[in-house]
Amino acid sequence: MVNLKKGVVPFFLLMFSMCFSQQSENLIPNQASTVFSINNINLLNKISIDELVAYDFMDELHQELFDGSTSNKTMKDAGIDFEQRLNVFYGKDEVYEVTGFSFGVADKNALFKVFDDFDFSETLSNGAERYNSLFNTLVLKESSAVLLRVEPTDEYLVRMTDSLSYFEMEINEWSLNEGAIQTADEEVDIDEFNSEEVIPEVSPGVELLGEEVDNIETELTLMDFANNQYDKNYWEIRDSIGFSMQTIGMNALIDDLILNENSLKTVDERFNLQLEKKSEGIFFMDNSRNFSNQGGMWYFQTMYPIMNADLKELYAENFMVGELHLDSNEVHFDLTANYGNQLGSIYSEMNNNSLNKEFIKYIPEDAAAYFIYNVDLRKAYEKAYDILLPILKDKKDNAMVMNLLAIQLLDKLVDKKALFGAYKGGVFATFNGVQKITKKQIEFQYDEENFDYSEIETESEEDMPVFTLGFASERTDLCEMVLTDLSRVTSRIEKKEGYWIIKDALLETAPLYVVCNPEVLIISNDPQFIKSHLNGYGKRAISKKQVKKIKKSGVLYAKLDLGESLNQFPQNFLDARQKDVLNNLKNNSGSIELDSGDSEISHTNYGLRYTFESSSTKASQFLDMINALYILSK
Amino acid sequence: MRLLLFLFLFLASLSSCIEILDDITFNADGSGELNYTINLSSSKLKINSILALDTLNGKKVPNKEEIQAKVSELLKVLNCQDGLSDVHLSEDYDNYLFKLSLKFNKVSDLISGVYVALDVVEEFSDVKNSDSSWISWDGAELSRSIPDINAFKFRMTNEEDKELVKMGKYTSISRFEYPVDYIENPLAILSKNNKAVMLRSSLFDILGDPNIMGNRISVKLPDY
Repeated sequence: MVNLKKGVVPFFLLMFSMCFSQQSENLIPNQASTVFSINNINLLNKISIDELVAYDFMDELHQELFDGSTSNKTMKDAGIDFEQRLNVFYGKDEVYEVTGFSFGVADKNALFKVFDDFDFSETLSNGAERYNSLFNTLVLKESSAVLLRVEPTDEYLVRMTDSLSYFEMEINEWSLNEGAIQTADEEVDIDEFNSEEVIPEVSPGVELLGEEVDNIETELTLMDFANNQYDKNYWEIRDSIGFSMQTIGMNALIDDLILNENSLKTVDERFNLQLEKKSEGIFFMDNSRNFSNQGGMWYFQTMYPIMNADLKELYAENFMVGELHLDSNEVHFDLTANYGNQLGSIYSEMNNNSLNKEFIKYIPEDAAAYFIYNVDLRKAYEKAYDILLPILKDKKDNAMVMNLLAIQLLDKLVDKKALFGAYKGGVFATFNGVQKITKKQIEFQYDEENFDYSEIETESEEDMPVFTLGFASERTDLCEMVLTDLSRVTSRIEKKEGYWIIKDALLETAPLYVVCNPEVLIISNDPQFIKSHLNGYGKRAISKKQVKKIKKSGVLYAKLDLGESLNQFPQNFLDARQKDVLNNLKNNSGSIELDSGDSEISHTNYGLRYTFESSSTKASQFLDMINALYILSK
Repeated sequence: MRLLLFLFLFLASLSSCIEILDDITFNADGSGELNYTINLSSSKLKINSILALDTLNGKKVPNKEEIQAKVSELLKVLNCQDGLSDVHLSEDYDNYLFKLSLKFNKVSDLISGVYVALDVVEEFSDVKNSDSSWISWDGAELSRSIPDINAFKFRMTNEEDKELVKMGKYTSISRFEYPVDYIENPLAILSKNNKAVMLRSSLFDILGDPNIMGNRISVKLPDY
């Protein structure tokens, strides 16, 4: 009996501590719209802190790399608890950007020996400890910790600074020149700067942060009045606003997450369900709150703000969940894009199409990278028209009525068969390596005698990617007609046997070729393709086995040979985010394959398989993939 | 079609850079001549691609005619300024090479003329507030810098803009009637005939510290 008691008591104590102990996932703020959570962090046991901190998802700790505290230390040395998850999160609304990660702490002393930039700030009312570094805040709550960074968005900061900078400039002029008061008064109504108009509506998830910001403009203006600091330049004003917003935002976030315990886990059941998955890593992204990922909608948002706001309800149930699995030499990522029924019915119409066989023959077997995107825009349009029109008809403001009228008139008057016949929506692209091109520019040549200068035309060599792009079209005759007419007015467009050439189209140096085949309109800068494969690659096209795989895939299929494509691709072509992804994967060899299932009414499944042949560890490959996905989803 | 446009924009972003050359001749009587050149020839495809768009990052992109109208307005303003003469502007829209030349009676005429003209261009209107004495010349000693480019409110929020500026160059040449006696800035070089001083730097460095283009030069006046 005594022995039984001896066994039962520790067992219950263990169960109690497991059930009620603080876990790192409880410290993910509800403002996070994207979360990567690594379940099996034992895998990362031997990863050095320097290696880990260098990843983009650890951006907040980059400064730690430079003070030597992380040298030769592993994650184990840093006192991290491998029984808890490592959660990397990101969130952005129109006012704030929140980034950070949460993790378990096994040894607090060891943790602060490595991350020694953090100084103790305060003990919060619930016992949690707050530490601050120059840019970040670390909160330790029981056996878990969260590192947080809160920054105002650039767009918001610029808008605030512009209004205050202008305001200060006017004030400055008034004090210097009384005669200017009348003019300035007429031009600027001071109340404008405190109006609600400059404060955008924030999403419910970040309401707390948004509310706190409301008075910053007034506070800063008054502060500057008091300090008589009218001579601040634009950048100083911007820094002051940024700093104040950071402080207010961070305090609000800590109140919300740590004191009120409003974490993503407590407020979002979908995320909670994801946490139950047992795979090596899980992914969660709430698209309805992911403002940064709506960049592609900028034109629509700018030109039709009212319509955009009304259509947001379509995206309300739009979220993505994924699982990362790690095998011996493969990382695979299964992703499900979830959406509401209305959006789902549009996607189903648009995406569920059979493979355009015409595309296949133009993809060479040895292509370094290629993708096929099979959509039918006409079907999507018809469905979208049926769904969106009733939603928009509910709105009664003038702008909306005019927009609606325009949409309906266009629908009735435009020949949709011809329009969507000309551009059906399906597209393929291949990347066939790089070629050297010569570029001309003007430079100045200086005479050392007197520094007189003359202009000379110089040439420089650039790497240019060789690509072929194809569009599904039943009306390539229209393109033929346009090129025929244009060729009458410029000698740069010329008809050749089976194709058109547009001379010096790229960088005013390299030609671009247009091939108007009956079912596909092809644009390419690949001379080999034009010379030998105008009607397709024949036996050199992708294999039947590969075609079978593509057919099985739904709307999207992409394949990329890392060694052949990423290492060759000129980086000048990429924006910062894409460069980050590329550099991250660049030293690896292997392949990446992306496919999708059919689009269902509520979701579409995607799969990404990263097969590596690398001497680096599985853990590094795993982190490489997480990092690439993190950058892309940010 | 967005994909096609996207690819073309990528192609256009290859190795773009800006080169600015300011060349001022200072006569002993205080007058002089300014030649100001902006060379965007290595970015011409990028500029063409941008001009083909209606908006970029949500902001309206002016078309070529609007730019020309603004430039001619600027020229008109310069032409009306007291103390400035022979104002010419050559515009080469094939290579995006722009050259402004003018003569001035006094350096103060040049400064005030430039500021009045910059006021015409809204984006540059802050320069006036930030710096009003970037150049002084008494016939024997020259003190010069360049207007604080930071005051132009460049919004280099993305990495691509920063890369563009990193590759940009600024060259400043000061010419004199008489041989140069002293040059303060160690980065400046003297021509073989001792009558011209050149200072070059990257635009990125200048944005970080506009003072690196500052210089004091004195000339050896003849003994009469």
